[in-house]
Amino acid sequence: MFKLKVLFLTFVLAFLFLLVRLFYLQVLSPKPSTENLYLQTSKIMPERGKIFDRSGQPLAVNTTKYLLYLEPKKVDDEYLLIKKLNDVLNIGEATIEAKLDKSKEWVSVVGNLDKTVKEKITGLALNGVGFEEMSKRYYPEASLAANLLGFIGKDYDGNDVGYFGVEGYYDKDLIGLPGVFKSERDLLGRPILIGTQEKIDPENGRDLYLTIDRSIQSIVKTKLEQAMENYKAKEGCVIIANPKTMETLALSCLPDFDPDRYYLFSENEFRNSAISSLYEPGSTFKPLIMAAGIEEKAIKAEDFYDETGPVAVGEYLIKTWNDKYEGKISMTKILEKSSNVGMVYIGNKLGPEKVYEYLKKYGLGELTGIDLQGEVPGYFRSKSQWYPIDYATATFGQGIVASPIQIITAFTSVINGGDLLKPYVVKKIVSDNKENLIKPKTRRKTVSMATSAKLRKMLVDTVENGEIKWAKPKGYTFGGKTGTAQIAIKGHYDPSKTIASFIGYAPADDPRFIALVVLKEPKSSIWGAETAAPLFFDIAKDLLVYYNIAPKP
Amino acid sequence: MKFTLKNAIWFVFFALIMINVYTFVSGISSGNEINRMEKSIISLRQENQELENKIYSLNSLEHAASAAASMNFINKSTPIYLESLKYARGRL
Repeated sequence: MFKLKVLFLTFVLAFLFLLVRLFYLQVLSPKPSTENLYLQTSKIMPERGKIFDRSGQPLAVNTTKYLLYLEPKKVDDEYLLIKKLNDVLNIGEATIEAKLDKSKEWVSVVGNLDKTVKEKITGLALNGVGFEEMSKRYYPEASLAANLLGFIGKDYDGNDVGYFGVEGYYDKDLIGLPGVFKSERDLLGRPILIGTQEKIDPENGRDLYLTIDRSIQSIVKTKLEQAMENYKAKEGCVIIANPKTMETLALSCLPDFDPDRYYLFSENEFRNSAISSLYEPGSTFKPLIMAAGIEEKAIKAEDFYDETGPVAVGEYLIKTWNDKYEGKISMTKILEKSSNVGMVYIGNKLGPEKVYEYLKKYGLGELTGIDLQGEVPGYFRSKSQWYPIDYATATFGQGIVASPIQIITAFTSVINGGDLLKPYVVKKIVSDNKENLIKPKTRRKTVSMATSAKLRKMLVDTVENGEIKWAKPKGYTFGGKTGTAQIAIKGHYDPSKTIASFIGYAPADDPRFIALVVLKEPKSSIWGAETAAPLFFDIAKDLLVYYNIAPKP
Repeated sequence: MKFTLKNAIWFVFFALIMINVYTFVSGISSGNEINRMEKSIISLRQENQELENKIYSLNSLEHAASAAASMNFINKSTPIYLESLKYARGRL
């Protein structure tokens, strides 16, 4: 009986102990009731949208890379780990040793590893070594369209963000929305089926289909690289567009950068000169003033001008580029021989008010709205800051600044019937269940269809009879204009430094493409006719073959 | 009757225990299977992405140019520097 009482008392004491302990754990120092130790919540990262050219060829896609990390406290043999890792990674034993800080739980060692390296390291079966997956951009065409695409960098929080070009402009469309995965898991990571299992699928980024033709882009970049070497130019830029829609078919500026290793390049090289650099357009601007003169009926295409000598504007003297004067010349001849004095005559006939009005109408000082990050509007002084010499020099494209994209857009309006179109690079945005087509947009009319037709004829004659006729491929008709603009340095023009340019289109009767070529400070020759024009025709030859346009006998 | 009722209760009791054990073991087994499939899906997705990227790379112009250069299918020409334009214009 006594033994039974003892046993009973033991059980009572044990239960009392449990009761007190439970009271302490649940009442006196409870853990928050909302904490569920088994519930794992993780973010499902969306896939960044891909970028394709107009025919669906990939320009920017995604790949998986790995970040190698260490858990120093789980490492058994430090020396062995350092030696074996270095044999695979080749980053230096000292670098790995420096990362092995035993006071830390987790350290990253090196990122951007591909699958083969990861498998090699996994095969070493080292304790304390792990991998985290990272999504990274992969450019199958390397730097073919570096300025156009931009690159993926990091923001202050370490998240991926697009910079420059299409990656920057369309970052919000490309990035997508993350999903959430909530799952109750046991100690071994297996799902507890009767527990919470919730998933919100991520919304992957939208895919972009560009107006760019990969083959044309390749032709343009190759030719531009050769020309930069041949003419020893400091910088170069080529833009090719469809003159009826202003779809950008190719855009290449050099020097550029490798979007995969953008951190090795300077910020200057990220800049897309086609949209972010300003230059004085020079003689390529003359057809625009000619068109304005014809449109306002200040002159007629059949009129003549008596080119007798230099023209005085205030204290300044305007001369032709070669200081030669040919007497009575037609309006077309003014363009053919690129006569500055002839253009001043047209400007005087137009009047300063109309010259200013047309400069604004053509979009100077205004963003074109092209869908690339980094466009600058340029600088356009208010009317009160203009002097008579400014109106005179503006007629031959000096004293005013514009970006290459502004020039090609304005010039296109003069040859396509007067439509100042918004240039664009993305033609289609595709998400899982929707396709959004981007259509051409007319900003405003600049000139009438009749004026445009007259200018097209004059520009054909300019190519046929001008200095550049020797470079023109036989059997095709081109329209175009050369430009050689001096560069202003500290308030003066340096005669040895120019921006050589050419803008042209073909075939002249029904243009399939318009191209602007700009070469900065070519050394072999300062003239557009001897550098930019041959490059244009070199590119045009390949484009005519690409478009299957046969020469006329 | 008392004997039969008692036996029935024990029978139900043991049956419930067996069902509980079976459900528990099936749950663990399904959990394992789900875990394995999740890893398999991730692995297949990655493999798919790698193959896709490999196709893109093989189809790229850069790869074609590189392959052509390595097989010597290119025109090697000496660049002509336009420092003496009389050659370019054919006037010697």
